[in-house]
Amino acid sequence: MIIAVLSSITTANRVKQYLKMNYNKDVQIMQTPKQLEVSGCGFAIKTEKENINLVYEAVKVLKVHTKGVFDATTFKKYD
Amino acid sequence: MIYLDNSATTHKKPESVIYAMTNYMRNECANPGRGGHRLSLKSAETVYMCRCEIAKMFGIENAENIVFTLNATDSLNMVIKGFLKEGDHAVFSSMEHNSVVRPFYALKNKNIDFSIAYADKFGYVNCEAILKEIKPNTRLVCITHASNVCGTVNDIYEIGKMLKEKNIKFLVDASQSGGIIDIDVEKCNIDFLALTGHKALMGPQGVGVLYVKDANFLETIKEGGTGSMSSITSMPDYMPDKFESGTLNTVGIAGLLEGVKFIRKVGLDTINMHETNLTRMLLDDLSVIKNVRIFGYLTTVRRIGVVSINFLNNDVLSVADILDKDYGICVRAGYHCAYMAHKTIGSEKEGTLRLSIGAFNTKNDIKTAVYAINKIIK
Repeated sequence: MIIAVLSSITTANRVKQYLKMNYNKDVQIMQTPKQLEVSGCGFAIKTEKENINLVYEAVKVLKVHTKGVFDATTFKKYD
Repeated sequence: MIYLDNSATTHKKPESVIYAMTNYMRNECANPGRGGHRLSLKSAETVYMCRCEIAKMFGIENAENIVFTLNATDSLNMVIKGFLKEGDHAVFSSMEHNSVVRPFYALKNKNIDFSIAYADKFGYVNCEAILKEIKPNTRLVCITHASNVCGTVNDIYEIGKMLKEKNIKFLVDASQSGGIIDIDVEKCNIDFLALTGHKALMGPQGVGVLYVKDANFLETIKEGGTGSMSSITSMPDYMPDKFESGTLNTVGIAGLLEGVKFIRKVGLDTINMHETNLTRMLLDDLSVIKNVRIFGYLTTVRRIGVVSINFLNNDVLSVADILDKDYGICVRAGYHCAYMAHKTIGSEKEGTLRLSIGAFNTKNDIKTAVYAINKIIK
């Protein structure tokens, strides 16, 4: 699983909607884990690793800010 | 009871709005964007869906550019006080509501100047009247789309086009027109659009909307918790969090969501046509009553269903009172929080009696109101 850290709950819902409408992919919105949190209180989406390119696409198309995509277990950042 | 005060607030709300609010209170009712549990996420989804529906209605590409406020007054204050800086100049029309006039007058103490673009006797502000007031340091023009006094509709497409050429920001007060007239923020070059949720958008009181094209131009006038970036001492710099501090009126937003969906389901054109037909009937029937003066345009061209009248031999407050007590007809009399507008159209002596039509009014409502007025006046 991967976690994409986003700026706000609104952005998280935008990305969630994009992935559902365009690719019928369901993602989970969650509070950003403490290990990945930069400035306290944020929201992220969690989804299968196979969807990583779709997440990058959503971020690019929607022009939203992301603090990065991370492995949900190791919290290692993907390039 | 006949309700003809829809300019103040729409009285009959769609059943779906009432259901959505009670359902929200019973089954959701958490704080959106404040936690990761299922109820908080569900509440956040409701808020987000409302942003999306409003975005669709007004041609807004990005739902994040929509800020929820307390009401249109709140939205207007946020722009007027958050955008203008010392030494700036702004223009607003002589038909504006006090929610525009008063904030501008309050800014005089802060060395922010303004000029008033005067409308004609019908309440119409044209581009020339605005152009005449523009100065080298003019940064903002604020115009009401439709008058809450006499219903006159201004051409925000032409005004927006002119202001874009001059690189002046455009604030539109669409409190009376949102949900009745089709508004496209891109086509009209609108930088800030202020809406209220409880009039023609069919939502409850306590929710307003502000569209912000570019948040970089707007400073905050209110700071607080946003549920995001809690460790920083300033407001987040991204939309909509930058302008939404404190808990939203989420139950109100749940209701507004259904209100906007109702309008999209019935069709904005259908609602507009219905109200236009009733307005035409009202104007035609009032125009044949002796001693009644109608303000604004006498046809349905360039106006919405807000009709102001006064009388040769009766005062408007007494007539409004009799309409309510003896006939069960709800109207508003006075200055309608827009004294400057009354001065413009020539009704400043005592104001007017205002009949404002809504989507749920019928031909019978209009006929009965006209009959009653005819019986009352001398």
